[in-house]
Amino acid sequence: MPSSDAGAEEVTTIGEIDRLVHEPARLMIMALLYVVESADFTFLINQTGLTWGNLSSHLSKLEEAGYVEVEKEFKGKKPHTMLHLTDEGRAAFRAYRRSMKQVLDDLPD
Amino acid sequence: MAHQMSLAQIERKAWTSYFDDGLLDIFLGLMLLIVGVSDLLGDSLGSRLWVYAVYALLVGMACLGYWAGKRFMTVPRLGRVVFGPARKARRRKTAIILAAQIIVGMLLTGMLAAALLRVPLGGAPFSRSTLLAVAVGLWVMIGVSLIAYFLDYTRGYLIGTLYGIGFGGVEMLGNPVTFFVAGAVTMALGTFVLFRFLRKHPMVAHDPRMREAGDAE
Repeated sequence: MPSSDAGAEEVTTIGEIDRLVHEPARLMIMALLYVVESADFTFLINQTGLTWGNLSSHLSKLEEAGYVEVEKEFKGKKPHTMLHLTDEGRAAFRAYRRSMKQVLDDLPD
Repeated sequence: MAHQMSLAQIERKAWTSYFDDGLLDIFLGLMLLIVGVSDLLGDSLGSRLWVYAVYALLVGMACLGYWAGKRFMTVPRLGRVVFGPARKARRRKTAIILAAQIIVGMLLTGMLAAALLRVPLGGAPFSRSTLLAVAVGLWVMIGVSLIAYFLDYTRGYLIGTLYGIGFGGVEMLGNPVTFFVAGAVTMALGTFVLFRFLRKHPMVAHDPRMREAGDAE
């Protein structure tokens, strides 16, 4: 793995990439939640093309990792679930972007 | 599933998907028709106040219809989302620009009208009313197009042109027929988009686990 001269401690290797974020479906979910404040299940299904089951399973993993927070709110008398990235989730996504960029930029042509 | 990682594109796609329902087109078309009806009523209701009352009632009904369409057709199909601060700032900017455009446009059109009354046109191949119609049409078209630009609402440019034709045509012809034509075309466009949207986005079947959790929407 090639490394840059400066800041050796900041150099990321492919093995250090956050695999939780790296999975394509979860990456899409996190990217969507990153660019908005919050969204519900239906919105995420429409935008990602995932099924309910798939989305639910990926969201559970992200929630367990503390990247996504599920918020129950009431619209009138109807309960409604909104999802948003936690600060930790936003930081993880930013770190993932930075790491991927660095890993790919370091590859020889 | 799309794997593009342009965050700006992802955000824009999410935002523009809320215009895919054609409701704004139908609403804007209705507004033109309402202006046309009010213009047609003239003083026929005895007092100008009654015309304003009818106008306000029709606009209120159009707003209610737009809200209900979003609430009962769009949101259950596309879901609910709260956009980020950048998009909110852009919406605020749109409102400010629209307000400024209306004020500046009215002033400029008024000044042009006043100037046209004074300046002799001589052998010019166009009349004062034509010049004024073009000015009014351009002003309205630019206003709606600015909204389209700041809202990332692509069909808004076409609707802006139709609005320009509608308002400019009324100035030129002296009757509201162009309001009805432009309004009908805008509504037809919106209705076509709405049907396409309803076919493309059937009501989402809800996850039983969510229903157990009390998510009935």
